[in-house]
Amino acid sequence: MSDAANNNRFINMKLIRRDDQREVMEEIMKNDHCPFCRENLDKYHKRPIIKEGEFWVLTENQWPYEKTKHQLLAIYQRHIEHLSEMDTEAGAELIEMFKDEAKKRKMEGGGIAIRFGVSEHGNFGNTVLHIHAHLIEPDIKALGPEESWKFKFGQPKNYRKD
Amino acid sequence: MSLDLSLLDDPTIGSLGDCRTLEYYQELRQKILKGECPFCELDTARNPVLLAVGNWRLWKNPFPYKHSKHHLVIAHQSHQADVDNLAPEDWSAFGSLCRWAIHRFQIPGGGIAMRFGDANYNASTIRHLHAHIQVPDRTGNVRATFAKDPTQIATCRERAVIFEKLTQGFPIEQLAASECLLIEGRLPAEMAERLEQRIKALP
Repeated sequence: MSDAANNNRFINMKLIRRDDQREVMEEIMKNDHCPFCRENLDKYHKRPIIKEGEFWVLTENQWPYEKTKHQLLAIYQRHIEHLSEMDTEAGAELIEMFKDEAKKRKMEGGGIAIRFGVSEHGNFGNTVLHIHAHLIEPDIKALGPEESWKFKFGQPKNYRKD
Repeated sequence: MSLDLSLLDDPTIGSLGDCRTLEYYQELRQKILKGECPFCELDTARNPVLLAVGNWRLWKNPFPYKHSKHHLVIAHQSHQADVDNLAPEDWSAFGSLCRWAIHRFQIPGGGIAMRFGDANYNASTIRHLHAHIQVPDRTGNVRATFAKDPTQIATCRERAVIFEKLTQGFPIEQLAASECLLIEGRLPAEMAERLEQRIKALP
């Protein structure tokens, strides 16, 4: 199946990590929806909305990464795909949301990460292109010997080289 | 040879145990010995500030992660360990810097990462709030480390002890096999050549 047939323009099927995720993503692809746009979110996203702000919707990742204790998502309210399109005031709201939730959950430490953008060669590791931020506390006890928990920025494994 | 292992962690400045290369280790070591935070007392000859907006400044990481086309650092000008005490205006300024960098370097996409919370749980090297803008060069994934397993932390510290030995003048030619393997790929060119010779000469 070609890349075009394997994706809609809002998602990247190559980055699916789990079988239960695949089923939902196939439906999203078929319907040609952006799953993170507010009008579609409730249809595909089954985790509770923790908070809704002017710029962001805070929720949990429906398909959390392996070896994480907590993984929250803040989904941008408007459909944007690049950091350059973000409102000036959005960063402050994002950090406030994450700070409050991290405190509530007694999160000890971890990272905040956002992937953004696309190029003619693919995207930068985001399954859904609609801008979303991750708040992650890795589960240190679940890590194997000599293992570190890393957030990846990059394109699919088989992306083209120059 | 006596090694001052207390140098390995300075809870307010940084952790030598997390340095990826000898060069980075020596730079941070010098700062810790002077009691200076490398991001408060930024060496602007080595890290020319490309732009400062509000309380933040941005420069190119002189130690870019593997597979990076661009690796930029944005750090607060004052010594903040975490996001707790920053004002909303700080984040507006932060956003302005990001937008400037995206425009300046024509960044089609990539990632932005910032650690939060207790440094013992987020694998940070420098205890000063900062973010990374990372743009992959399409030869592989760029990765931001958010935690390390305790055995890996121990290995990193063993590596730092070897970096310290080399810094104090211990000859590469006398390193043990296990020490050589721990620092392979982490030395400047001339020393890397000597290390390669040492590895070849090992029984």
